[in-house]
Amino acid sequence: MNIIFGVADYLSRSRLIRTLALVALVLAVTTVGALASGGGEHGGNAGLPQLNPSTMMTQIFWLIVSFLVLYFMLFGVALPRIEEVLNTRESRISWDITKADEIRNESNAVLASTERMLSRTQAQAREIISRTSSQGQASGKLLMDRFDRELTRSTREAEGRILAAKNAALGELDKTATDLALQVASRLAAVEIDRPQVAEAVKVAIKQRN
Amino acid sequence: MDPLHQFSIKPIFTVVIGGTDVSFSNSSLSMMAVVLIVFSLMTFSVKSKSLVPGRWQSLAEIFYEFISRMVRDNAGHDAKPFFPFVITLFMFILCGNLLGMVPGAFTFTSHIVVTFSMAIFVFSMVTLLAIVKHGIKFLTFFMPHGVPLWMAPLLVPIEIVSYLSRPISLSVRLFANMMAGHTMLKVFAGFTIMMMGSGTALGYAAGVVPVVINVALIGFEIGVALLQAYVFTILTCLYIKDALELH
Repeated sequence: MNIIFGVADYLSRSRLIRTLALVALVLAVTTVGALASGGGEHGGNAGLPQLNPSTMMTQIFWLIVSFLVLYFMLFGVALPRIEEVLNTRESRISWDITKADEIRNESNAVLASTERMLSRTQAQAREIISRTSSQGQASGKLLMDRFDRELTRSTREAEGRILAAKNAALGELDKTATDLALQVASRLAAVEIDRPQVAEAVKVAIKQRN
Repeated sequence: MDPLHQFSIKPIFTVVIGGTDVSFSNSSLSMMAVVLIVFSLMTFSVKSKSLVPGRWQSLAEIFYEFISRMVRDNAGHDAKPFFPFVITLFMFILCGNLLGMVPGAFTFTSHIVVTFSMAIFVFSMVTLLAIVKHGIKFLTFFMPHGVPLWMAPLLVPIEIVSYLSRPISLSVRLFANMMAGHTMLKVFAGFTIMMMGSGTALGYAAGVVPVVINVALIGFEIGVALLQAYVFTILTCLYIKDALELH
């Protein structure tokens, strides 16, 4: 922006400059004109065309005309147009840059919040995983214990049952052996013996056997 | 065959104003062509007002920014009002120099009267500006700061002479560069014609050599055309700075 000189700025100081330029133009023309006509007095037509005084005034005249025409064309038409184009582009670019900055800040904020959310979520997930695994271990242990107790109890019950069955069986055996001994005695020796006596004897005999 | 023939002024139609012959010549035609070219480049190429410039618009913008930067950097911020003048001066000289490189075209900057008129105008304007802006203090310009007083009788005349020789050096630099370059091109081209004019096979073969040299010289001359326009303009900027600030 700084490098572009506005033509509008020129207008504020134009009067002084214009007066200066006009006086300078008059001075320049008189100086060059005097030099050119002075050269004409003792200069010939021979040699350099540049030193031919007869062609000097036409060049000065058309130089002034063409330079002034070009100056006012550029000053009035071309330069304001280029200035406007450059200013428009400049403001457009700076607007774009501001907008881009805004968008970048916005996206940075979004990114930061996303990252915060992500890390929070990850922490939560870790916590849930650890809680779940410790819970799992605890409930597994509980189940295991219950199973152990159950197993012990049923084993004990089974043992009790087996013992009872064995005692029952042994009792039955005594009775059967007594019956058998009574029958044997009655059949073989035709002796009636007291049942309690026989049972006692069988008991003794079994004890001796064992 | 005269290498200086290209500089001669040939009237196209006669114009007489106030008893002075100001005929429209080949020089005037070149000037008018430059006016048209510069105005077209700086105006019609920027017609679209587009955000992304095309080739020609870029060129116009480059010239604009180049000269506005040159004026700001070399003449200071107060020199803003001179920007339209400086860019006109630059475009006028630059296109005049480059148009002169077109075969058959007339180079109006190769005439001392043209360059001297421009230089004396710059000189008058700058001097008037300094006098209007600083009044009598303008004379301190010829006595630089920090110089002992006894040096004044020696230094002041030197400063005055160097100040007065500004328009001469400014104009002669441009005129002599353009004239010498164009003369040299013509001389080498003339060698080729002379060698071929001999009609022998050797002459035809040797005639190629000046053509090769001329190819290099034309590239060199285009560089000179750019450089001299730049030098003339930047010196104008420096003179404006001197007038505004009285170094």
